[in-house]
Amino acid sequence: MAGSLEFIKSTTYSGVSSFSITDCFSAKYDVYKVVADDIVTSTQAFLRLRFINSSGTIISTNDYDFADLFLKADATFTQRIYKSVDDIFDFNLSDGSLSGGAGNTIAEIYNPFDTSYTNLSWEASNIYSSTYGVGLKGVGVLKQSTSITGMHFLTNTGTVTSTIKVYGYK
Amino acid sequence: MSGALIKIDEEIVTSSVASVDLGGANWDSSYDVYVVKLNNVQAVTDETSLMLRVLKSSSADSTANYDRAEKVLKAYGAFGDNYYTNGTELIMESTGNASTDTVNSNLYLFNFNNSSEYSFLTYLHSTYTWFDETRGISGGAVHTVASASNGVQFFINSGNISAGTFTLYGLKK
Repeated sequence: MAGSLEFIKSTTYSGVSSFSITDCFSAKYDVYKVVADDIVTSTQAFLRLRFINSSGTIISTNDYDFADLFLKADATFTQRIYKSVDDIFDFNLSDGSLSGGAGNTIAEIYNPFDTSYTNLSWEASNIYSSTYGVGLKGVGVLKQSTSITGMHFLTNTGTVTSTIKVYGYK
Repeated sequence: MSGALIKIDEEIVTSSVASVDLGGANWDSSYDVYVVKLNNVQAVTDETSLMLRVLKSSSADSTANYDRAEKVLKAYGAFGDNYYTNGTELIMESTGNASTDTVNSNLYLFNFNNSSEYSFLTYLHSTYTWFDETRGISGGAVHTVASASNGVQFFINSGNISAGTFTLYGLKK
């Protein structure tokens, strides 16, 4: 029997500070799974997410809200709350200063292609401060009623090597 | 190669309904773990809540045996903890009736086919609320009745469901 989670696209980038995955969202699916595993950065860095609209424009206006919880293995959990910012800053955290410090994020993207707000949630398993394990649970929204067709990723510092895979729920 | 996530049931709501059942007569007991996706769920009435009950022999179980604990991740304020025991249903998330008011979620169902175990759920909602804020809820729940379940029912605590796509998948063994 055919499965209901269909592979759409895989994109690999190496040693860059930003990259895009274009034309991965369409009218064929409403809900998407994004798998970003083995994200290797050149230093401790966040991988930030912006969406790309159907005109090919990377949306960098202050229309993103997000909230996430850092579940730290060594300390009290941290709440991070951001409203009207220009990206989803906490999509992933990797520590390139540490061998084995790659980050991993799984995200669900809801209704990017239709002209409603784009909601997302994500969960991640990472390392920070060169030592400690940390889990991430986050939710966010792009408050623009525009059709989204792609994603743009950028680091807050240094470079990243990553393969991002996109799947659609049938 | 065949896929591992198999669609079992789907209900697409485009006009007002009192409830949505996933499974029931369409339940396929050949899986250990199930995935439920909610997409763009909205209510007829503003400032209401989406609720869930498990199905026993295709009927929603309203006995006071639902426990849950969850963390509310708010983009507008300090995070919160919600928990209770022995509820008559699971309160999933707040709903509204504006075009941007949507509940989206990824749920996992465990042990539903095991007649000697409780029925367990985990979930992560991603919601744009009726008060125009973003939040998520990450939690776990259990129906503390040791009997088999054959699906879930969604309904609104006051009024009807107006829109949304509800999909049930099985995770292939």
